[in-house]
Amino acid sequence: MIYRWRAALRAAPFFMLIAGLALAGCAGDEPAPTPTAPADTAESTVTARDVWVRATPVDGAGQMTGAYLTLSNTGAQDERLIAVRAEGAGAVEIHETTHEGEIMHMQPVDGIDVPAGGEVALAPGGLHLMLLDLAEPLAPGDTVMLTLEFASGLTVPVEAEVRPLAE
Amino acid sequence: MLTLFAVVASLLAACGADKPPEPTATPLPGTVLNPPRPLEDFTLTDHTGAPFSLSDLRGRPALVFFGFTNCPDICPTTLGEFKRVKSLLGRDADEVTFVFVSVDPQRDTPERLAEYVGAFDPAFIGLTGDDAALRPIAQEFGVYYQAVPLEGSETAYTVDHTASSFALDREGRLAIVFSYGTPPDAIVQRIRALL
Repeated sequence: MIYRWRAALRAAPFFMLIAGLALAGCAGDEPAPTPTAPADTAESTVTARDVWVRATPVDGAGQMTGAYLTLSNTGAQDERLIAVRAEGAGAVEIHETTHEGEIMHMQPVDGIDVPAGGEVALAPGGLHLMLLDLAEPLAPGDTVMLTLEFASGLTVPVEAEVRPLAE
Repeated sequence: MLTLFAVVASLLAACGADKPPEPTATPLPGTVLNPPRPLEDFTLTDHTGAPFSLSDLRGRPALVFFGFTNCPDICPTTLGEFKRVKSLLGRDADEVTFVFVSVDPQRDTPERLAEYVGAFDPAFIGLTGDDAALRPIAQEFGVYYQAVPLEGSETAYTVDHTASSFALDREGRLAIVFSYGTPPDAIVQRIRALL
């Protein structure tokens, strides 16, 4: 009797290990992601809403304009927007409008932090995206495809609507 | 019948009596120059390609803004506010001239200005002139402007600039300076004094 108890005790860690592995195996058994979604955006923790681009005022190629959106990070890790690409624009920069008294400055920023569980709004008068070297003018009602790139490697495609130059 | 009326009236009066006192009015935005500052006459090119002088504005008050057509939000926002000022002026809308002066002569040709100001209101006037003509005018208004290159593109640049709006009186003198973002109804109230 005693001999069996001791054996049982010595075997316990072994059984615990087996049990642990089995449980880990169970925990790892998530439903397979939908086949069409690429791995890094299947559960995108950063979403964008109210994505819009200001219409260009005149005809012709090579213009620039501003784009705005609100970023929402529903994930557990902080994210940092570091680059954006836009279809139809030669380049996109992230800018901030600041002012020194009455003088308005517009300067590029390296990135925008979107903390875990937080939101950041890019809006007129503050942070915004500059779409440069547009291939074509943009009219209200058009859409522009943007790809948001984050420091973590996350990429988020969003569609922006073109809104009138002035309300 | 009269009793009912009296009861209703006293109830309404009581409601009125219960209202808290009106808060003291906040000062109206806009810096009024007293006396208005005379400006040197100048000539620039308007959006139709014709010469346009400050003296052409005399006889009616004017609202002036310095900006550029590639400006992504400060300039369209302000011109949108000018549109709102014009509509708030109602019958007096035609008594005020709205002027947009470009601080980007390199890109803002008369044709481009015509399309730009026309997108806001066909009556708005766009003015452009080379740096030699523009610099002294801007200085008189106290306007700073400076082209700044943008790294993302070899050719793109922005222009940092003073974003105040300026009201001129009928004599073409600088009368009021509004900070960027002054609400249109405050501008209207101030401008009415110049009509």
